[in-house]
Amino acid sequence: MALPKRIIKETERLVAEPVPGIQAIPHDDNLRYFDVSIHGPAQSPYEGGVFKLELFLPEDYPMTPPKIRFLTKIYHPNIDRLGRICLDVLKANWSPALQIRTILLSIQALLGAPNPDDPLANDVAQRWKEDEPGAIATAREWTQTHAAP
Amino acid sequence: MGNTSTKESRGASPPPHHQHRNSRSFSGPSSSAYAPDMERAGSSSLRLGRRHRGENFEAALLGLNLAQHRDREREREREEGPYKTREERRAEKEAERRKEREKERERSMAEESVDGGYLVTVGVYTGPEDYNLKVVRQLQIERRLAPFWKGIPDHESDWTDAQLVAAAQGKDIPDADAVIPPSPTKPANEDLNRLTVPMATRSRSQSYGSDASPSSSTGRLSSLSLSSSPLAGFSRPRSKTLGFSRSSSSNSAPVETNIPSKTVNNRPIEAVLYENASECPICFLYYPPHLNRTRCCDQPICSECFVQIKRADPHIPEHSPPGSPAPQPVDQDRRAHAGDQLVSEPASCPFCKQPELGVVFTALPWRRGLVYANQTHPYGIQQQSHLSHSSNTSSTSSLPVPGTPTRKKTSYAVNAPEVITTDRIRPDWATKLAHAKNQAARRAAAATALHTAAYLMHNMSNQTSSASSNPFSSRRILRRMNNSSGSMTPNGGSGTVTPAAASSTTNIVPEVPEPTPAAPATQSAALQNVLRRARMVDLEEMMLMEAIRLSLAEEEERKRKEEKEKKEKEEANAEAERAAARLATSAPEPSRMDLGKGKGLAPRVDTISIGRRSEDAQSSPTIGFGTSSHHLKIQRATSDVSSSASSMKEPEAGNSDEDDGTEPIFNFQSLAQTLMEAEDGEANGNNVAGKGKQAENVENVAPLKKEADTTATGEEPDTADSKTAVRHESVRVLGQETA
Repeated sequence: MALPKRIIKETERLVAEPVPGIQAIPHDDNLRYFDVSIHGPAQSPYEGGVFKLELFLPEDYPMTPPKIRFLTKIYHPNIDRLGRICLDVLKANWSPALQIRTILLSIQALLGAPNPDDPLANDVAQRWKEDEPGAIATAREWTQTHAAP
Repeated sequence: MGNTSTKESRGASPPPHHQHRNSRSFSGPSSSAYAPDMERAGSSSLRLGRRHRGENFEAALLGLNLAQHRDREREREREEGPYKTREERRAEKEAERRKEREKERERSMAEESVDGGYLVTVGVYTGPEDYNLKVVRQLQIERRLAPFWKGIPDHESDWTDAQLVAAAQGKDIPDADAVIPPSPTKPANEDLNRLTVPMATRSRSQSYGSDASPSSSTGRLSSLSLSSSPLAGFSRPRSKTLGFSRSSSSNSAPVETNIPSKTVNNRPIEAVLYENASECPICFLYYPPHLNRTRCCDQPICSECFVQIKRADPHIPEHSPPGSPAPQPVDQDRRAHAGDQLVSEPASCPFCKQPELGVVFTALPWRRGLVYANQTHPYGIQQQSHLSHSSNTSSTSSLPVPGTPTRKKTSYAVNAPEVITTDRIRPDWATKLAHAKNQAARRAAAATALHTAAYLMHNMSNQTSSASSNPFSSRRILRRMNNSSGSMTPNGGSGTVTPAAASSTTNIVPEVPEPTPAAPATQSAALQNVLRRARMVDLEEMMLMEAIRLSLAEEEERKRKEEKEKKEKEEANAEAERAAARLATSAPEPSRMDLGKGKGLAPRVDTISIGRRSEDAQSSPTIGFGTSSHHLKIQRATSDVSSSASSMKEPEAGNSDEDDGTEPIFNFQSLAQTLMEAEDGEANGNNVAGKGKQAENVENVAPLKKEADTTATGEEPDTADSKTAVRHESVRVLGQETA
């Protein structure tokens, strides 16, 4: 089936005007599947890390959200061990007016602002609440071990 | 109601497992696909004939008294295998529908247009068109929703007319100095500008509220032939059933007429339209700059994208949705019940997330293509139509002044007359919600009954056997169920028919049996509600649960058999002796023995023959004990009642002639029934009778529970139902006997 014009255009624009700190490259054999890398935002425990993600645009995109998952191990209360992300705009709050670009920016922002009150990784969230400095130290540690560029 | 309900009696002829499978499958996806089917059926009278026949069957299944249909269907399923055919048939139907829709689309694109756009989607999205085609079509002809203009992938602001035309027609963009090629479709008589040409009677557009009536299929006239005969004039009024034609006595009913010109101010219509094309922010295609605008934030959105946006499927409300609008009226009866908890929120704006997306379309200053003949200005028809079919038009004063298409407002109230909401083009959302609620309610009621049964069985087994180490205690089940409901995600209501999905209702389950300490009054009120619903539970759901329960029995039975093998011999010996002793005292009853074994045995009753007979009873239950149920009872009386090994088997052989297919259900049904009645406090005669049955049922299932291990609970019912058909009977017969 032909690729919808929207996906083609989004891809073109991502290449033409890349977002600083975010890269998304479609696979040659499946233009709906993207290799994504996001730089950890400054002043966050993830600073200096480059996180790899996979992104897939389902059949009815943009009416349904893209599927995104972290491939790099990350210590974050809203990202579980499998790399799944708890982010409202990836679920109920998705809107067809959002794009790959905006959704990746949201994920980057999530790295900068963990939300332990709406956790996906319960143990991490618990620790984040009880011992924030310790949790941040662990996150920093994991970033160095797993997300070194 | 009760045991003699007619619904259940239809299970009399086919084997229970088959019927179960059948009913289950149609309560599932097929009926949910049903509503859109009907929508579409009405969309074209030409397809009606064939479509109708196909759907009649569905309609029949949905509760009409067409048992023959059902039987025929069952026959077919038997021949071809139930699962595959059903899916295949649905796929076939779907393919056929697509093909016809494709044809319809081609025809419409060739013949019909509205201001240079189309009345059918042009293929930006490939999914099913689940909006109401009729409503959208009418709105577009009324210029209240932008037509489906063709989106062009690229656009340059300095394109010449020729380039614009080529782009709009999907051709390669020519050089800037190219001339516009003569369009073959251009009508010769362009000077007849506002010539009205009757469109062939299109059943689609003529009835708003009523489904396409058969009388409207007067055939399809091509507009080509019509355009050469302009004398036809106003052909015919739209359907009399049109709601608002009655309310406006001064205006005649609208007639579809055509303005065939393809030019505007002597320029090609495409050039005019796409001259300042703007991009739809959702599909990224370029459209004429007259797109619909969201009512809330004035963002453009093309019709093609707009018709894709819809309510999410009914779901359980998320914890405290922030800033959500006033709940739907359907929420008002929300109770502690899964079915009632389901909500369906109107789609929110994709741009500003404001709830209840609606769009406003400002009509072009000129018009081409289809119009309603007596529509003098864009809102002329709208005014009257609103008076009749939306009662809440409070702000008719906000109508723009005729002739000034410029917008004065940037945001509209959701009930403003100009606003077209997503619900407006999907009027069936309420039906869908109701359907989902129904399903959830059924599931919940089934789960309630199941848990009730489990609880009672638990109680009884505690009484009969003081073994406290029951691994299958209902407490444990309940706890487990509660856990799973606690971790349930919002998509729990999306229609999975696993028993776990029904567990969301377990908060009410512990209150069902009275022994539970401290049942809060509010919850018991909710319970009443549930039980009332349970009364309406469909047979198939009961069957499903029955299957779950019996699958436990099945597993139990398997174990029991092994045990039985061991016990058998000593048991047989012991029983033979006892029977002999018993018969020795009642020896002067030769007639009974006659019935049992035939003529040869009557005078000579010796212990050996009896012994053999009782051995038969134990080992090979199929051996003909025939009608000697009395005899069996004697044996049963003498044998150890708690040795359920034999009790499971014997009656099956002995009483099978009394069995009929409907009976097995009743035990269970009556149990649920009884519970409901007991809870409702309806003290009628059934109550007493019901209690007796309840006891008997419990008694006969209680031993089964003892050893059933927890693995069986998760078993899918459809794997279980076929196996358990036989167990059914034995359980029931046992119940009769103990009673």
